[in-house]
Amino acid sequence: MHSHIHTISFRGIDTIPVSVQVHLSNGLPAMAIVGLADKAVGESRERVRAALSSLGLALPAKRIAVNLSPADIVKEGAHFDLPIALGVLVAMGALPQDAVDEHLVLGELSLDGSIQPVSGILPAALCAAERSQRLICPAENGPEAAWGGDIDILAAGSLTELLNHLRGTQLLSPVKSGMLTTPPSGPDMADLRG
Amino acid sequence: MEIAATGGHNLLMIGPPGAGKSMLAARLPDLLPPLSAREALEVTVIHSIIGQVPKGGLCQKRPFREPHHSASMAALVGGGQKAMPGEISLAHNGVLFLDELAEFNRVAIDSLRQPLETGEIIIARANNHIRYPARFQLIAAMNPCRCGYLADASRACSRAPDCARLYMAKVSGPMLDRFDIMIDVAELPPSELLSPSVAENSASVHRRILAAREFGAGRHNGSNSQVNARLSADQIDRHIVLAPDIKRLLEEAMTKQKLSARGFHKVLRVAQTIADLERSETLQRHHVLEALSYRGVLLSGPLPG
Repeated sequence: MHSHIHTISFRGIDTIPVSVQVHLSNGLPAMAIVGLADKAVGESRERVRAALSSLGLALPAKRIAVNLSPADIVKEGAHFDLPIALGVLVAMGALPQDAVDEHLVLGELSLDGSIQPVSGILPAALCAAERSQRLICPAENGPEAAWGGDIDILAAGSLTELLNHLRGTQLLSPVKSGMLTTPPSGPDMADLRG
Repeated sequence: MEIAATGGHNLLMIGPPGAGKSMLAARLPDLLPPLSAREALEVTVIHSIIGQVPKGGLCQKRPFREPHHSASMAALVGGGQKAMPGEISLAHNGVLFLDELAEFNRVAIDSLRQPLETGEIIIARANNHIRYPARFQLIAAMNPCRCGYLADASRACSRAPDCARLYMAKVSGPMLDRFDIMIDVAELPPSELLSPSVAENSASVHRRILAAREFGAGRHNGSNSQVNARLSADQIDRHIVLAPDIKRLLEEAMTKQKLSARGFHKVLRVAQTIADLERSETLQRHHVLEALSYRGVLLSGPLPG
């Protein structure tokens, strides 16, 4: 009936560990997100509901309290969708808590359950490396996260893929780090006269 | 340009329209040495915060940011509701190029004064207090006056030289003091424009700059890879050995040209870079004289005439 997922909040380029706690209790069916969530985080309620229903799961007919701790710093950004969804799944009993322990989770959900890229993945990966956690991030951000150091990365394209991996039914392929890019050279000094 | 690229010095180019100031600046990124692994990570972290890391790649080339002169203070130094990084932070470990410096909002330019010295920016808001790194090299270009043709009597408008004084005054004195190198970019005579190019290509200049930086790093026993522009006063005292006649020369220059303490150190840093480019172990008289000449535009008062 209770779960907690690790994620982070950004303060400039620094990261602050945030724990997403989900609690199910008896009462009027509702979902409340507390812990100084800004508009994008508050709206994640609708995305989580739709993404879960795309898995064929309905939110339980209970009172769902989501707390973003520490509760006194403002949480911004859409990357809280995935940790909240995982928190709800664990609280519902669809996933065991130990499957998501020691993971740092970031990702934005779309209504069909796919996981959208978010910003700030590299600092998140560095933070995960520092705390020797594994990182769960959107598939598109995988190459960027791989620069964060020697960490295990789960880069999932959708909630279904991620659940299958965590349950051990279908594993995600490992992430390759992105290219070392060198943009094409600009104009040459030789064009200059004088 | 080569000196600025080698030592990471701030550069101000003043010249008439069409003289090639922007062309010069556009060629700077290819002259700079590539980012070290650590620097590349720092740069990518900042770009990651605003979600601008194309295909998850780590960029090895130094960032080159050229905001338009309509940029606001928040756009330059960072800020806004979420206190996002500004152009100076996105140019961290790279180059910030301000074309038409005098057309920028005065408040916006002056907001660069502090980060230029400290290499970071602290955005303080009522509910936020956020630090972003901002160690960038400032390259700026401007016209000498509003019509732009101050040096050419036949084309200058009737208000010269007064309008030039007003125009230069748009950039504050403390801001001008922060430029290590100021150069006049003169217009070329037609004969030179038509003749075949004799300039070196970027690759060979790039190699020379790398060699000079290595030479400079050797002086600090390779302890750090910082550029001369970032030498602290303490490091200048320790590493730069001045011959007695150079001391006298500097003293004279300081009193005559009213060099600030910062200006004094900047002259020494630029002189050191010139010496590095010549692979000279000691700082010699002509290095210091050349460095002093690059502050000439400012030191002779805002304007000649």
